[in-house]
Amino acid sequence: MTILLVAVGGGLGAVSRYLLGILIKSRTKERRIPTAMLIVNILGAFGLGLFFGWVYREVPSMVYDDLRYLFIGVGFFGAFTTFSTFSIETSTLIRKKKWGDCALYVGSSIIGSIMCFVLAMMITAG
Amino acid sequence: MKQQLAILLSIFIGGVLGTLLRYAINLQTINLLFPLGTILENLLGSFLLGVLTGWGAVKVLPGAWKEGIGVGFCGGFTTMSTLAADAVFIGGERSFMAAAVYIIISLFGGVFLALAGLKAGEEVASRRQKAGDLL
Repeated sequence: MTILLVAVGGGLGAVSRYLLGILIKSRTKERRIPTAMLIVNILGAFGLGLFFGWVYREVPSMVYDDLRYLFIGVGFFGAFTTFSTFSIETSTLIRKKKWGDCALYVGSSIIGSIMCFVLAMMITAG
Repeated sequence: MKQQLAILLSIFIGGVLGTLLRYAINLQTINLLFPLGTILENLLGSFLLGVLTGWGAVKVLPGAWKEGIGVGFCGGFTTMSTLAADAVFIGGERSFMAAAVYIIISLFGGVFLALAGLKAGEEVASRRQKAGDLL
């Protein structure tokens, strides 16, 4: 049961990321930085923050026996957000020597994800 | 339509496998003081996607495979939401400095390995192309 929840959550997260990415790309113009995965990652961090704040009122640790955590936290939001695409897109900007865009992309991805995660936790944890 | 369904299915399967591997590594590293599991996953996944992207830049993989391994597996194996949660957790439990170290290792390690992977993938692809190999 445990493994099934992690698996299905992960599969749904990956497919959702792909579909949302396509939707964002079709609605936005070509930008200096890759906005689709930036938005997906920030949205996913926000979602995980909402979930953690609502259910645990803190960042949980040692809850690997909690099925909600496994399905939503490890499975869905874990797979919905991605670090590998972020690394590749950063690498591409480095190769093009677009240092300003690179700093903007890295900064907004990392700081944006952390800040939105914290904000979401504050909203639901009160 | 059929091709789109094949891509969605392959992303789902890739996402399942990537997530399960991430979960397995997390279980092995859960008792460590530092979230080494997530660091390892994000670094390895960046390298793998780098190889795939570099290789695909010269030789195109069949559609569903490319999306399945890249978007599904690598995407599901690596994670930004857990990175954000880890950073906040470390910052609260230990220190701001420790959280900064965690982020810097993930960021520089991930980008370095992605660059190395891109290079490696391109090398292999161009050598194969020169040899006249169809794959």
